[in-house]
Amino acid sequence: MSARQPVTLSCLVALLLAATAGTAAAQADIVGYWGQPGQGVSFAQRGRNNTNYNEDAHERQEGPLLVDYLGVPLNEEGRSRALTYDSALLGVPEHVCMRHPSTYSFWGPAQLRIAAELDANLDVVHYTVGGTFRRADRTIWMDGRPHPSAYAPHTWAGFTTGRWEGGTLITTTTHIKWGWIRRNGVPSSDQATVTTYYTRNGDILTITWIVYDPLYLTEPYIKSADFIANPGGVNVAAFDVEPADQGNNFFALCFPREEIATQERHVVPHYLPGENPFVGEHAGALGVPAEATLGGAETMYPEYKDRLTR
Amino acid sequence: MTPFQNARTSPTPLARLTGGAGTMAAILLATAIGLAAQAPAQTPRPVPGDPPIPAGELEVLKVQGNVWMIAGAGGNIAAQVGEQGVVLVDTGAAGVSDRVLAALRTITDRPIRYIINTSVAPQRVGGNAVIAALPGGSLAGAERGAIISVIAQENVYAKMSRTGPDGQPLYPVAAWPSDGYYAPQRGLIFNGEAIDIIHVPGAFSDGDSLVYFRGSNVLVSGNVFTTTHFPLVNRSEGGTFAGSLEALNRMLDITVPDDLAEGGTYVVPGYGRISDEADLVEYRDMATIVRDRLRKLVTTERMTLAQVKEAHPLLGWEGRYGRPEWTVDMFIEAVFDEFAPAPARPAGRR
Repeated sequence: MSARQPVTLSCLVALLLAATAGTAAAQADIVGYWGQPGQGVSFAQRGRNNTNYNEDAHERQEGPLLVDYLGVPLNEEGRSRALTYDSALLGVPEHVCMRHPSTYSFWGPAQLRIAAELDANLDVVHYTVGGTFRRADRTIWMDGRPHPSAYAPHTWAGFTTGRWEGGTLITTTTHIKWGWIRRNGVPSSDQATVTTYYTRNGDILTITWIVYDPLYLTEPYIKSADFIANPGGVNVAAFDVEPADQGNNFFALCFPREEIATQERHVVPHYLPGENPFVGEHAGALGVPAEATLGGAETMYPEYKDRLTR
Repeated sequence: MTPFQNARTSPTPLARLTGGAGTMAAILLATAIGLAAQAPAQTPRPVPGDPPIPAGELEVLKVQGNVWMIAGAGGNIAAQVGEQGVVLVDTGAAGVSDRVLAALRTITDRPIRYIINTSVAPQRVGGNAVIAALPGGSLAGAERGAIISVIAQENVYAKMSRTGPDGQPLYPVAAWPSDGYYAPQRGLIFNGEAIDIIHVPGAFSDGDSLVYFRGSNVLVSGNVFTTTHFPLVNRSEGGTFAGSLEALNRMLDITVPDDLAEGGTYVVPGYGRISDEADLVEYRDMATIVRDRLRKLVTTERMTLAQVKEAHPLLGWEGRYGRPEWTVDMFIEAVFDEFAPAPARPAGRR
């Protein structure tokens, strides 16, 4: 990491938060329903109207292209792990029901319901943020409790504590399971932590999160997503289990099951080093060298484009 | 008398293994020990070292149901606790037994009735000599009572009763298992809960057991699964990487996750944090990918050990699971032979 990169990063975060903080000077009310910018259209109905995820819609619905790590500050370990990814893994029974972890969940399809649990003094004990895809609902503890022991279980949502700074709720999440930061196999480790900023500006809730992963990233990975107030409610059930994803909101739980009748037991689809057939495919479509799509901190910054054009 | 020995009235070694009734078992065991003694010496391979033991009090965590985890005692210890007493799965490293007992006393004052050793690793059996010798298994200082039954797969007994270079047993008699099992699986009911003790051959060693508490829905893995190390394989004790992977898949056959791949069956690993099936899947996936990478490099491309190390077949997990006591290189050196093709036979000798 060069000496100027942390400065660049800090400036980016500061600018982003300043732009989204508006004039709020006190705690904002984040409780309620929060939908995607395209009002009233759920993920389950996307076939009829695909405009609700107008912010990075392709990435957040269909998902990113394979071996597209551009802009992800992967180190060698992270890149090696990412290149093993074979999407057939999603058909392995043990993988079928896994939820989006907190390193990723706001970036996937999501419509949120945020609730607050109050104590006798009407102070917030915790917020619950539900409605991300596969429902790794996040509890944000506001009562000052410590994070659990290093020996405690990790969950897809992780363990989150929060505090208000002006009009922004800042949370820290630890104890997250291994997972991903993009849905094309870019990994996150169980050592990753996430700092999340919830900033309300009128009817817009901007959620910005920063993933720190000492095992797979050389720099923090920053993403944001906007949600709009939707007092009429959101279709949270659409993000629970697969039958509901198809628009059938019947009760169902998700347990491991075979999706491929002929699959041998305990198979783990993956690519060996040098054998991932998708390396270069996306790069070819973009007209850039394959190395650009393999990520790395340098691919996060504008000057990388200059390097490609030289 | 060594510091490990005690004045407890102890059955003879073979009787301890067989629960005092297995004449045939004793004969079989003696035969096995004799055969083992005649086996040719193997090339020394790295063996997993001892992880550091943190100072201070050990940490006690409720897993679920009747099962607790005591962390930091060299390796993790599981305790099933109820009115009948305590089942202790492993006893931790030598030298920390007082801390283990202090930790247990924060959970219960009921006596220890069973110890189940999941392997012969020093972090699994190191506390046997002290804890198994507690009169009546008492945590409250009783001076008499029923002897704790120490259950283990038969090979654990065979290894613990070996003699060292000084001609003395590696472990004092008091530490040896008193109830060896030979079948693929042993069961008992304690505190109203069925407990499966399942032999997984050739994993960390040739005497590994998984312990599954059915009612609590907690699986204890011993050295077969950790959240901290690459698969622990002690080749000199009969362990293999292939067996380790098979044991991990066996564990997955036992665990059932709750809705959306979280919770359900919890796993107490040999080292590291309390886990569920998703954590186990992550580890099994890693082990499978590493196996396939090694198979390609060693078996297909016929690389030497040095070349394999240079190729970094564990890249993607080196920082996660490499530890000073079980480094990336130690792991590769330990399992390399499993993938090496058999040497070509001399011409004319078929």
